[in-house]
Amino acid sequence: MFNFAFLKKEIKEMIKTPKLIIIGSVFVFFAIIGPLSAKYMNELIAMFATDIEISFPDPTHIQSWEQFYSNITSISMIVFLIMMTGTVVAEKNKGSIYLILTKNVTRTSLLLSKMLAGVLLFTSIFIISVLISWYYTWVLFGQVVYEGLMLSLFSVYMLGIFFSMIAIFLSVVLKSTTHAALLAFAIYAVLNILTILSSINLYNPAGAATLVLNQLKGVDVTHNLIINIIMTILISSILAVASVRIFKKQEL
Amino acid sequence: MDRIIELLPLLIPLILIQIGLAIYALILLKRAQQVRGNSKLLWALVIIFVNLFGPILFIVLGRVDDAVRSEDE
Repeated sequence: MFNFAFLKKEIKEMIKTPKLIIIGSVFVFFAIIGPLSAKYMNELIAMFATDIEISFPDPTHIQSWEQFYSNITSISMIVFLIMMTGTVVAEKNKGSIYLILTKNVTRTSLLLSKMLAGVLLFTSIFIISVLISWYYTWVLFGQVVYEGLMLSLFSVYMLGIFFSMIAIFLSVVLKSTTHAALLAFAIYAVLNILTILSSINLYNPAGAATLVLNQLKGVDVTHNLIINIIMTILISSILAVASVRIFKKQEL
Repeated sequence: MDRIIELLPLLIPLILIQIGLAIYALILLKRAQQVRGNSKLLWALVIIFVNLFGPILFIVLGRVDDAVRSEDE
């Protein structure tokens, strides 16, 4: 049975550790900087490049969301992924996992609690980032919503859930936090390089980043985004089930 | 100058995040008995002068003190 007391403990630990502070700071920082840079980047470039005459079109809320998606799917996601890779492996190495497992907590319950805590962490930080970016976009541009906004936000949210499942999977199968973090980064990089092949963006969870940017440019990618979300949910579920199965049989 | 004053309410949260994170990292640095590279001064400079990512680098990579880590992990 699922152990809610253990989930509560996981959430409390997350609040106490630097993990929440680091992930929170990065997500909030880039949620603020996105709309600001969209609004003032052109002016800054024009200010420094005095020798050349450059004329930029007036930035709109579209550029603000473009910045938001670019930041959240790159720097913020990398930080989140790397911070989450220690979830299980750090406790295995410290030996604290043995203490927990002797306290009537099953391995499945332990891993599910860690997964759920990770999902809750990402969900809350993602919602806060969206609200901040929403507010800044509204203040700076007077307009926020565009067609397909909610679907785009949901696909980026699912990308975050996918990366938390990758982090937990690697944390279960590998024996060192450093190896897990490096491999997580390598997977992130490979999936992002694969986004160049636009034909497979549908099936590549990282393809969501490209698809939402296309949606911003006015291309109707609703159908592709829906398929991408379904694929991301499917791959994330497979990773979750595989993590639990491996962890159950693993020699600790 | 007027532009900066006008933008200040929007910029303050950014400044607070950077200062807050740097103070937090400096507290962890002070508490740490041992740091990677054995130079607390170097880490202090990284924390103070590398915006946003300096404190993160120290928190993630700089701490090797098991006692401190197990306390906050």
